[in-house]
Amino acid sequence: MGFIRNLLRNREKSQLEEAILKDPSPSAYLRLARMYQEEGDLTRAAQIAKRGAAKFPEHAEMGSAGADLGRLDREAECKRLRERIENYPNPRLYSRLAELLRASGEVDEARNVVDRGLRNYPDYGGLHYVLGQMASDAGEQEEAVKQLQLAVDQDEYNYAALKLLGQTYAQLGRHGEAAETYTRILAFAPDDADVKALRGDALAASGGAEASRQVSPSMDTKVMSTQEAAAGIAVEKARAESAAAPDKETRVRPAGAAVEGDLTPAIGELAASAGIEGAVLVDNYGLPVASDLPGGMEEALAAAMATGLRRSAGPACGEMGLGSFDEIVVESTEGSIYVYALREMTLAVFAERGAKAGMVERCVQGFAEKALEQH
Amino acid sequence: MKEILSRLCRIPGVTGVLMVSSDGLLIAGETSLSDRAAEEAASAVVGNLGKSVTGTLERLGRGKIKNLVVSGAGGRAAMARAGDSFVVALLEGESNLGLIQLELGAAANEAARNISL
Repeated sequence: MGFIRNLLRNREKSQLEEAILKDPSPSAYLRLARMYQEEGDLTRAAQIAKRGAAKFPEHAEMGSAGADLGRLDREAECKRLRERIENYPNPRLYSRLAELLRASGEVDEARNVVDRGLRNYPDYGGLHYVLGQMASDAGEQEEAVKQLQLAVDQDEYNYAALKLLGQTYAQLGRHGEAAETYTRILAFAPDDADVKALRGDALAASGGAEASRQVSPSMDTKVMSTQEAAAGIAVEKARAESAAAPDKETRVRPAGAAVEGDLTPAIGELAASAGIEGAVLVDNYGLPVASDLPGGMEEALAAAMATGLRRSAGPACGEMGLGSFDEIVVESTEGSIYVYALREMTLAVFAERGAKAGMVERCVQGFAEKALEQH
Repeated sequence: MKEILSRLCRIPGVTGVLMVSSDGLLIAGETSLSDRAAEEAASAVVGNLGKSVTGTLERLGRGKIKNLVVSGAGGRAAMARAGDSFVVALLEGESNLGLIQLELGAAANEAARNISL
């Protein structure tokens, strides 16, 4: 009889999801959050409760449920991450754990975790990003700039670090540098409305108000010409190399492949599947975790683009009433791109023109199980 | 245009349809979203998503966008290019995506012809 109970439960969940979209009420949010909690999906339970608390800020029970579930979710995730670090350490686990501890107010413990992480992985920018966040929280803006600069030196496409660096420059009154930093983001996320607005403010504050007012979408490109040129060169280089060596023998493997241990062969296996040209797994900062890409495709650029697609698709899901983002499939004249949410990570798969969508999905499922198990 | 959208809405599994310009403005809509403001908000994010996808394809040298499907925990949306605009079909989770994409492609071509007249 278990399947009938599951059927009824799933039906009730669908009805509650629909009720939240069409006629939201605190009771619908609370019931749905509790259902996910009972199923052990604390992350989704906390997300629902958080949305409910944002929608009904005056509702006391909603607010406390949001806080309680958020705390439980963080604790469970911290426990999972500590176990993973113990058995299969990698730098992203340290930064994710430190970030969760920081969010819970356990700043000293967060710093210990970052220190341990940096001893083992001194070149991982994500750990410097967390240090930058903590310095910013403490009002130590100069230290924040130093750490965030280290983070973006390690990865020029680190969206979160660049954005916080720009905001920190602005707080220090270094508006010119803030505008330059935002411009670096717009080179790979040209439609980011938030960053465009921040850049406009920074330009205005740095005395470029006239220029800011006159910036049109086409002029945006001119203003960020250096970064655009860099991105353009990368794309052109990739195209040229692809044209010269389009087969899978010249695949790009990540420089830090050895660090990734188990996932490198798994992503290689995925990329070698019929119809698939390559794939990249990206962490929540937009940094590559593992990749196996077609010859000439730049790993960091592919990771930044995958993150950008997820960032754009997330709000679209919300506004269209589709719930939280799961995946996006883009079919183009040259093939397809599949982008999946794997918890906080993002997987992008590049498929040939005419690849069978069902086969791609099956191959991705196998990889997703491994990736989620290991991270 | 209204007739094209109504025809799409009658396909089993389709819960609503939007026609959105490339700059995110609502051209026409027939959805179960709460009101016109909700349809306009959805159109704005569709326009933004279209731009983001177009930019990504360009930077990665992956050609021009033909169509896309976005899936969330509570349903899916299929989008097809209609000239400079997009036709978007909102779908139930268990709908026949292959059939809907065929119909959506045909509707998008027809809509593009109508717009260019």
